[in-house]
Amino acid sequence: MNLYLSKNSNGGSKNSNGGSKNFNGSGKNNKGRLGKIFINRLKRMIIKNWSFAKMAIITNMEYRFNFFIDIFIQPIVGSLVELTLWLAVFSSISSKTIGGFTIQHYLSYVIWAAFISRITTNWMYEFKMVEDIEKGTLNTLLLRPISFFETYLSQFLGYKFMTTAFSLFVPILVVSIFQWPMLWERIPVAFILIFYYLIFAHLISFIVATISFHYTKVISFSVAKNILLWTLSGEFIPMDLFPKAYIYPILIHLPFANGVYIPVGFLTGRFSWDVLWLGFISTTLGILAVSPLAYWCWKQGLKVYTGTGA
Amino acid sequence: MKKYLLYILRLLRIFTAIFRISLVADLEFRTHFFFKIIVDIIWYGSQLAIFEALFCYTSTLGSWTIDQTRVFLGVLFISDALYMIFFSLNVENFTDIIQKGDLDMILTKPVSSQLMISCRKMSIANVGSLLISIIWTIWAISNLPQSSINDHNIFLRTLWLIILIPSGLMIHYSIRFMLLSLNLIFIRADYLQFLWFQFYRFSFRSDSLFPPNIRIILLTILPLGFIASVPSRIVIDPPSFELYAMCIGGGIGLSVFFIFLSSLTWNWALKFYSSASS
Repeated sequence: MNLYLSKNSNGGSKNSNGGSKNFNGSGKNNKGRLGKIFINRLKRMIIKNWSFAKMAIITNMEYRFNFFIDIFIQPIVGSLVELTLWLAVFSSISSKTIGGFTIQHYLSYVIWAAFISRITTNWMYEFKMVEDIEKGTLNTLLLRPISFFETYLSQFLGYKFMTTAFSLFVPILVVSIFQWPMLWERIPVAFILIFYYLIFAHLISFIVATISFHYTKVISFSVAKNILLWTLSGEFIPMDLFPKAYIYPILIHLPFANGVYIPVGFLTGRFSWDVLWLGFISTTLGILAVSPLAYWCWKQGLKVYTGTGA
Repeated sequence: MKKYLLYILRLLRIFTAIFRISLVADLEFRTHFFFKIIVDIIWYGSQLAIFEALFCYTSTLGSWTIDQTRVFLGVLFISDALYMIFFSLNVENFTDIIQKGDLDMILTKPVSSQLMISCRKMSIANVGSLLISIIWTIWAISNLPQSSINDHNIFLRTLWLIILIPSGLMIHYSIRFMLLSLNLIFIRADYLQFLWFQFYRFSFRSDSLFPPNIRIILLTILPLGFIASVPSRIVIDPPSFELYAMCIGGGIGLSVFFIFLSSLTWNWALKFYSSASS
């Protein structure tokens, strides 16, 4: 992520020079001064990013009906379709469980998956990034004291934070009313993982957006990426239903599983804390693997960018 | 009679011209052209994976076996590919056309404005997806149990799909077009399009999976069951009077009714249109 903070680093270098005057002092003082510089830079970065996050919240709240459809109606209708599927599946079998879980486990999974996948999917800001590159409006963003990556990451996180705050009560309410399996104490940790995964999701979107430096139409890349993410994240069906011998062990170790399956499975009690830690590890590895690629794509893109729009 | 023949010939000429222009336009972006086919293959694969995984745990789902569900999915893919070819590009740009004032130009042309706005571009890349879907469906039908193939003249009944799939497609198009027409009244009705995608998901499942109340809605007011589910029944289910009545009366009848309704809605909504950038 720091790879995209070049502009902040430049801004910060002034402070570093200022700080160099005091290097004659004791090591303890230097450490204190460096610590202050670091805190100041961090503060500035948070303030800048927060202003973009706030902007995303305000902009999306402007069209309230769109917002209402996006965070409530879409996941409710989507989960209704999936709920009927699972009711039909259980009415077709003689056993009371599938893969060791009851119908209540599946219904709880479906309702949570519908809402959490709304949080982890990134369409809007990916399209905006593509549009900026295609139309040449990226020029204005390059002049800002915040990187292109950060501009959209903070907006993306701000918007998703708002989505979470408003829509979370729906699955909680449904699960409580019907008394479906749910481990309440796990909610905070599960959402930390979800928001951590959002950084990875944004990196993927960023890479897709950089393709528009080279190709005029990238919508098919976006659609392909999102369909793949939905499938690999376990939005459609819990991953443990896939063949356990070869497909499941691969899918569970991929960072994409943190988009739906791991947080939802963890919340609904499909597995223990071990899998959650695995989720944090795979997301970290995913971010570490994808960041250099994103940086390289960005640099390659800037080399061919003419700033005139495609 | 001659008048109608001339009209059909004129339509054919228009569609040939649209096809030619779209092909040239699509081939301009070759990577996008091929990637569109890949997107469809990924989508088909994800839908197949869901059902293949589910059928590891049950032998039937809403009265259908895995072989029958594969036929249903094939019909769904064909219908979706046809929709993508003829309508997808046009409906995606619908809001822009109204906001930028391009509708003014379309309204002045000597062809039905509804036809022009709905079919002025084709997505030729999806012809590849259509071919893949047809091959899949033929394979799925030939894989049905031998008893149902011999007993029910299945290959003759498959010919019904030539009428029933386009009927379902017309229902799909009409509902979408009616929702889009509301853009003329509300200017920005994007949220209705997002909502539509969620309702459209009902057509990804067999109608027999849904509870009776929802099923009635899907076969009447919001007839999404006719997009793939009902046409598949003509091949999958044993022939009966009820089945044919539902397919012909329901499928074909409703498609004609919905096309008529979409035309009425369009003409009504046009009264609210106040030209460019309204």
